[in-house]
Amino acid sequence: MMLKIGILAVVATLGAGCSVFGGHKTPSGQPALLSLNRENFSTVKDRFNSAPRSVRVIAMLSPT
Amino acid sequence: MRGASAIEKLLDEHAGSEIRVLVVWEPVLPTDIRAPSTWTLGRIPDARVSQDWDKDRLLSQAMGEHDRRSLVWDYIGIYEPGTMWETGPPKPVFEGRPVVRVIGDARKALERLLSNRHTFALRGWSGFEIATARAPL
Repeated sequence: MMLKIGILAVVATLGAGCSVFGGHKTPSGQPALLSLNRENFSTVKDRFNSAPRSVRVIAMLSPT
Repeated sequence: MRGASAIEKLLDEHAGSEIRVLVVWEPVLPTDIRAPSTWTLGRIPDARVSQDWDKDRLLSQAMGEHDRRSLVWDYIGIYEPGTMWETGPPKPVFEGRPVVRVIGDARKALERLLSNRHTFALRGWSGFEIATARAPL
């Protein structure tokens, strides 16, 4: 019984770890992460132009 | 990661201001083998932000990358209201890198634009005062 509980706990922990460290979910309120390519690159331009009255910031970062 | 934290702090300091932030993650370091994780994306939780993964560094190339030395990363650019992206990325009023080193100057540029924004709002897109363009009652 204890062995089963232990295995379940390990599986649950690994699952939670994968969803946080292995997934690619953006924070609540933000659009989903888009993987850019030549076909959808205009999305960046559209996002920039969609808020012309706002101050806009572009940040380019490395994920690690 | 320090760049991401600096940007989030900047947003926290200007909660409620009309700011839109495009965060573009791109592979630069040998460890950048995958799109940013949920944990990494969570470093910038502000709802005024959109985050994209640019695995081919298309934006960097659009900004002039043609070899390793000209790669655009750890970068922040700030654009005044009214600026439009037409054939290529527009010219910012402020840009710099690395982000953590230039964040103080970026903050000043941002605050200057936010304080000018009210004036901008009173003008039409062409720059004419709305009051002068309005027909008499």
